[in-house]
Amino acid sequence: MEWKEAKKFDFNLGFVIMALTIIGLLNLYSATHAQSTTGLSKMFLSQATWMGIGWLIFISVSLINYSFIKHFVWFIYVTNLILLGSVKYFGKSFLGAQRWLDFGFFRFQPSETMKISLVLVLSLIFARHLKKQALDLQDLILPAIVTIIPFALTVTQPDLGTALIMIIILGSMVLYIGLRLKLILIALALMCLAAPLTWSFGMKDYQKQRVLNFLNPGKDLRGGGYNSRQSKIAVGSGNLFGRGYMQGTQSQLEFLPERHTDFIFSVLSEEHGFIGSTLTIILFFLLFISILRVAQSTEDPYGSLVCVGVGTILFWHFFINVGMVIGILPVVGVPLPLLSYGGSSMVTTMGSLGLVSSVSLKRFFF
Amino acid sequence: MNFGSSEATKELNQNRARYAFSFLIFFFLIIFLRLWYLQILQGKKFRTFSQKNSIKERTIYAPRGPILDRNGKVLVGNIPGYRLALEPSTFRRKNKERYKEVIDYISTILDEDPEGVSARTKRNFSKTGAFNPGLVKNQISNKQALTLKQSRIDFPEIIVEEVIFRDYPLSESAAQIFGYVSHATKNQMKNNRSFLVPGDQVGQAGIENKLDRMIRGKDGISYVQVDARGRVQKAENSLISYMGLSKVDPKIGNTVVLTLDKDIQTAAYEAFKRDDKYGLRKGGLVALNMQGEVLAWTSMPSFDPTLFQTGISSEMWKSLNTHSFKPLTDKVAQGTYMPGSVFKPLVGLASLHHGEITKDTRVEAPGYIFFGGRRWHDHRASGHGFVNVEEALEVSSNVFFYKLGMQLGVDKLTDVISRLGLGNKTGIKYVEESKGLLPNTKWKKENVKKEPRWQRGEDLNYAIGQGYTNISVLQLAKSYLSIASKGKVYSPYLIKEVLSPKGKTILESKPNLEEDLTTEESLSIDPKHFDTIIRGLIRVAHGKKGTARYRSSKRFLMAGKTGTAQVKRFSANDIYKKCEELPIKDRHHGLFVGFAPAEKPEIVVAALALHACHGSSGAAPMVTDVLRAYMKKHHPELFLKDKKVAKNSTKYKKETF
Repeated sequence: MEWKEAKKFDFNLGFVIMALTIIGLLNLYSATHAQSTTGLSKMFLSQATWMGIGWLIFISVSLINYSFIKHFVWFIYVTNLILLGSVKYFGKSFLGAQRWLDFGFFRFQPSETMKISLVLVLSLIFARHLKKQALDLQDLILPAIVTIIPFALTVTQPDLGTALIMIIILGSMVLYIGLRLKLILIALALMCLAAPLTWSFGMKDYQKQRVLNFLNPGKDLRGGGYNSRQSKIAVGSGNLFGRGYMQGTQSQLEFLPERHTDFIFSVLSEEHGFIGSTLTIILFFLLFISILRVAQSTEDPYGSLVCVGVGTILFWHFFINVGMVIGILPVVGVPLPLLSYGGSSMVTTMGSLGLVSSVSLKRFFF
Repeated sequence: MNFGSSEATKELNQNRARYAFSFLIFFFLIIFLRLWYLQILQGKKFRTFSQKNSIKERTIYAPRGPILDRNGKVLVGNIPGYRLALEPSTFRRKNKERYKEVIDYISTILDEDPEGVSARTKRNFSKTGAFNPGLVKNQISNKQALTLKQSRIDFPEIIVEEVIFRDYPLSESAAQIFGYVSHATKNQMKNNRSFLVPGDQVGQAGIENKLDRMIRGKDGISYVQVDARGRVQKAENSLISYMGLSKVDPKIGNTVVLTLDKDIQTAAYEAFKRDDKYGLRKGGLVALNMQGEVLAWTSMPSFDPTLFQTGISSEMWKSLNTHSFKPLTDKVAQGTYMPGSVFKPLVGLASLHHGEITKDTRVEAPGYIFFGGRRWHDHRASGHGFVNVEEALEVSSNVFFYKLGMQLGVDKLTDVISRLGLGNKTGIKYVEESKGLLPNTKWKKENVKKEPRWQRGEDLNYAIGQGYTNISVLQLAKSYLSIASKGKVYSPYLIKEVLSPKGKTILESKPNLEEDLTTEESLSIDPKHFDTIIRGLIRVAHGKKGTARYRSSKRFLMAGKTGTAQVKRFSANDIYKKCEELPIKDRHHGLFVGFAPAEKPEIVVAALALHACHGSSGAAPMVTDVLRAYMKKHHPELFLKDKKVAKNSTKYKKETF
């Protein structure tokens, strides 16, 4: 190992991730401390542990040569597909949906890792076309197929949220590379057609209800409308400086539902105000800029696209979650990367960021 | 892959990054502006909302569905009342002294011991969760409610709510069937997935329990805004409506329609209230129509189900459980008893069927016979002479049936008798019932370790309804229904239908004919045998020597059989003589099963009179009361003046008297 090469480690990226994870832990402490007598709730300790594991994974993946993974991409993809398919038969059912595989010591959600596997496969396919100005229709056939299969498996779980993110990943990557205008128009037309069909056949009642609640919150009693309103009150009441750490009444008095997972950002906004939330938002912005920089500066099209893909996943999670918290998007169960409580999300996020770091390092460790 | 070398591609890539960057800027700007709007522009409004945000859900309890009789009359209904509770803040530790003040005040109004009130209230509060009011008492009187309401100026912690309570207009009558409601127990909240929350009223016994999920309505929600002390504020519509909250009305539960007839039920209950020299009657009575529909069901002593929802005191609960006649236990289907002589018609029927006797076979029935080295007594020392089966039933001759038992043996008799429903569950649904026992040699071999072999002497005991035989009153009614309907065995049922509040049928019961004993697939019992037995039973009620001749009605023709079940063993001579002198617990049970009108039966009534000494004086009058009530309702013409139908033309009369 030469020091010269190690210098290529992207310290900007590392710094931003470090800052966000620390903010995440402090914020989670505030959101959960009321639930235990000692202040150190089980949830907080568990999240701290997962964060440690996350960092280990981040560093290990950084040190692996991502090009080496290239040879196994299809294998990873197919294995992940099989696991995804097996959820239907061996999975744990939770709130009417089967999403988990139980391995005893931990529960594994194949649809989480599927997003990354999909990015790896799509990057491999699109790497060939990166020289082109814009993609043609025939370039889209294979990517469409590899996306549709996990999409279909995830929809039937049913987990519409994750499934839609797969489509969004494909769309974002295609748009990043460039698409002929004609095709963009066709895609828009298809979406207009697909929306009503999804509404009538693809969505469960509770999902429809969420969309309706979003469009017409006054009608709802105790569903998404309520959550969304409480979240807006929490965010809005933060004003400029916030109500102070662990002083947010919305979060501490339990008006906010799901405040440690989906609505973690409301807690932050309420307690740290416009300044605190803007700073956090800016950190996320820097995170995406760093990822984009790595994508742009690398000379390997595959590595570049992997970064773009990872950035896409994280960006849409971020935007959908924050959009829901501030009431511009419907309530969907999407966690905020690095801030929401949850081991799965932490591990996959840190793992995928490790890939980006690996691209920037370009270390050949094997 | 040769990628980096191409300048064009590099430029392409930079373009892409630029697009992506502007894309990011665009989306982040949206978030930034939205945050600006919420936190800075609208910040003041949301800060106010947040400070005022203490919206609490309050449950509006849904009334339970009513229980109606077959004609739509209310058996169990709902009645508005008041319940007294305290605001949750009252229970905070720092308000300890205030809490004591409030409790002291309440206790003087309720006229109860403050410590008891305090303990009960704390217990209730701990069950209902920190944000809900703590219940002090259900169903306080109107006067107390008014006083407490007015004192809210001084004691704002007091909540007087108008709530719907369960109303049991029949009170004790059929209480074991209806059951009762009270607060959901911890186990009930844990075990079932019906979303019970603390404070919910749940059926704890009887139909209220068995059909709880159907009877229970869907609770509604109202929203109130409370201040920091937990006191309800005047509705701040702006916030509640901003939150998109509006009241959800409660939905009443489903209506349960029973087969019971309120009039007959009342007659059955009143029959027990007839005071006589034995004191208040105890026991069970059930009336079935010819399709097995339960028309009346009484078990005494009983209890008032209303007591349970006001919060039954522990002394009361204790006394209900330790009472020597167990008011909570149903004597009709759960209790099993030795049948005594009411068993004889069944033995007669089995003997006719097996061809051991014909209707004309006369058997000598002296005062006693010798068998197995001992004397087997009749209750009449002088005996009854030569009697046929009809006459044997009329006078309830023991010796006649001893001889049948001797000849046929237990197995042949049980083979037939068990088919009429004795010694087995009757198949009634939504009611707890016991199986009872109808023995045979196989049963004894498997179950009586001490003496597995069936003794011949036991055949004799068996034939007069004694020994191991143990049956419920409901089983008796079922078997006599089969006799009255000449071979049709119906399972009794109690729930006629369950209707949704909009009148849609959710559950419906139809008569369940188990089998017809006269058919070839069954036992092919000759219908004439049933006629013979029925004639015997009419003689019991109307014959010159009939054991129930003084207890029958003059207005209509009825049939039936008396029975006396020993509680303790006595020598045969003592059976009737000394009963009244025995301590109550040792006295015999009286039984009577009857049906009317005997020409074309419509109703069967079986009654058990605990410790009433005789079937004729203890149980028969109750059965006759119920039969009379039924006949008066459905055949009022029989009760017009100067009509003595029983003595008028009937085919039985012509043939037998």
